[in-house]
Amino acid sequence: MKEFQNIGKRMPYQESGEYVSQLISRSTEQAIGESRKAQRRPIRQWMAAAAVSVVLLAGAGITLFHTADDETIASAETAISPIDQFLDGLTDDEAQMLAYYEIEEIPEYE
Amino acid sequence: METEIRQEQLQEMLSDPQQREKGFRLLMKQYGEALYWHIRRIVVSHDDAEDALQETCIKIFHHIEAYRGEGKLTTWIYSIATREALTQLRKQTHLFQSIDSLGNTLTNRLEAETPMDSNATEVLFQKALLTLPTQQRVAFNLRYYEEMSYDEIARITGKNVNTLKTNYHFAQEKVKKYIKEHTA
Repeated sequence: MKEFQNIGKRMPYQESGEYVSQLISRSTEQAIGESRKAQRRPIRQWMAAAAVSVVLLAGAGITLFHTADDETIASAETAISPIDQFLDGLTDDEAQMLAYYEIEEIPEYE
Repeated sequence: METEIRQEQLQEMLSDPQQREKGFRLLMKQYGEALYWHIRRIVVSHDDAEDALQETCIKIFHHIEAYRGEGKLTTWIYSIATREALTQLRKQTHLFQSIDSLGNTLTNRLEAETPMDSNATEVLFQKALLTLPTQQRVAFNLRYYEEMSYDEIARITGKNVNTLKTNYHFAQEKVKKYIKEHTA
């Protein structure tokens, strides 16, 4: 048992002091780096959220613009022109008369 | 020889946001190696010790603001290191398996990490320590290797001082018995 009293704090496995100090220095810098990253994270999140909002708003704007254009075209297409209104108001005889008119019958050409 | 910085001085630097990083570097320079060996004795493998040490560094720096300076700074950093080392061991257990059941795994790891020409008595002593329940082994290490007071160990392990004293006595007896049985 005496030899066990002589072991003291020695370990059967060893690592070089230089290696351990490099490991410590690496871990220390990593911890500082992680903390800096964590501090920057909320700002980045804000910026990302702002960028997403801008893209969404732009998308919505373009969609609205195009929808409005389509509506204008559609409304233009569905609107009844005064000529159509006039033609719709004619009786069959009047329409037939219009179809078989002589150029001289038109007052301006007299 | 580098001068050791007093804990109060380090504490002061760590509580000042302007000097925190510098204080942390000094803290790790001063206690990093001791923390590494404390972790290594718990997890045995170098790779696990490296992972646990990295996590310990991150936790210390991240939570440094939460440290109120009520206890010793070393007690606080050893508490974090101990928890990280135990977490590292817990990762190696299966569902519902206790870390105490890792004894054989750790003994195998000890043999793998030990060079062929290492001192047989030192190996046997470490094997004897690995037969102790984990919490008892941690307390034994803190008392035997780090020469901490029972009050400090109680703060780190969250155990009662009297329980720790009794445990240390039983641990010593168990280690002696193991060595006796394994030496012709």
